[in-house]
Amino acid sequence: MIIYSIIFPIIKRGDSVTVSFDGVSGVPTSFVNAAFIELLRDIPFSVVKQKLSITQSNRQINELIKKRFNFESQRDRNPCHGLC
Amino acid sequence: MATPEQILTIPLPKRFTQYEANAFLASIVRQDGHPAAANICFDFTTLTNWVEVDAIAVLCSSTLWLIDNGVNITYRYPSEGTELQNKNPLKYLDDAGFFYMFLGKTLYPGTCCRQTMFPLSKLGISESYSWMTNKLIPWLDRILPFALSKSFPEFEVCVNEIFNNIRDHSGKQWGCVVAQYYPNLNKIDLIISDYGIGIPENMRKLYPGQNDAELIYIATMEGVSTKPTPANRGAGLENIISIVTNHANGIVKIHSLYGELTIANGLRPQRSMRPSLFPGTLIHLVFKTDCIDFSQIFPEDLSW
Repeated sequence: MIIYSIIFPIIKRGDSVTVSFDGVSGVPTSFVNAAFIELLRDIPFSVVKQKLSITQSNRQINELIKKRFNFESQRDRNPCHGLC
Repeated sequence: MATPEQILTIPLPKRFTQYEANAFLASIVRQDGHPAAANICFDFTTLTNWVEVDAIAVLCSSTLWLIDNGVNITYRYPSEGTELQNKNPLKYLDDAGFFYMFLGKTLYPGTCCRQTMFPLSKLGISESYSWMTNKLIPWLDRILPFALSKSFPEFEVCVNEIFNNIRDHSGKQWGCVVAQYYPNLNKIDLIISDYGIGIPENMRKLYPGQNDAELIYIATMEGVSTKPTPANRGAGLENIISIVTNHANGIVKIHSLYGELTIANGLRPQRSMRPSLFPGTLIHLVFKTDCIDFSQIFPEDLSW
């Protein structure tokens, strides 16, 4: 939750923030969830996309982040997500 | 001390593969999920033909489960000091570290872990990351024709995801690991198991009326979690499956309680019910080392 606690107030007040993954080659879903997806509790995905930049990452990490955001932002509109 | 009449003797199958594991599990676990006896003797003198690495994982995990449930276990085996050929299944078990784990010693001359095998390890959740970084990954870097740590970091992600699940859902703080590399087949078998509550038992609270195989399948769907937290949003198993099947053309097998799920790239997930109960969860990942998608590590900035 450290990453989230740093970037949330920045984005909340309307500023942009860049997170660098320099030296990081892979992350589990728990990291992405805690660091970034929590933003969706208070900030619309459209705003996150405008204010949050990810650099020095790789394809696997980026695809995971995007996939998680796309899923969770849709989940709010469709809570059952096919299982009801 | 139990009398001979009170000891349930379980002869291991002559050939011990995942199929014979069903009968083995049925002999040690009752249908109500309790151990078959308070005193059990594993008879290894009958294991004379073959043992597969996933059977070793089943044997290890179920032995730990029995001990955790207060069962007194003894072992019968050909006398120590017997010269065994490398292809002898008991030698393979000894080299894998099974007897060292449960007896505190190896049994046969010349026992040592084989270069292509990572020995049985029982790990606490808190030590799993350092173990992976300092032992498992360096071993793979040594034996593979490429540096796995640099070329395929998703392997570590898979191990992380599995131990996160054990921590969050199993009710236990331990996992067992064994791995085998087959250079002629270009594949790695990685098996991680726990002897916890089992995926179906957790899932049943949310999805009553489904059988164990179906519950495991549901658990692999993105977004399904029995204990949602900011970090745990039901994406771990789906991420493992995506990595193994899409980026390594591999296979994911999950065996928990009576259910089994097998997922491979391009094939419909196979759900099946086993005739016997596996007490806990066993995840078997097969990576095809000649099919790894190395493009996933290409550096890039995220583009929304």
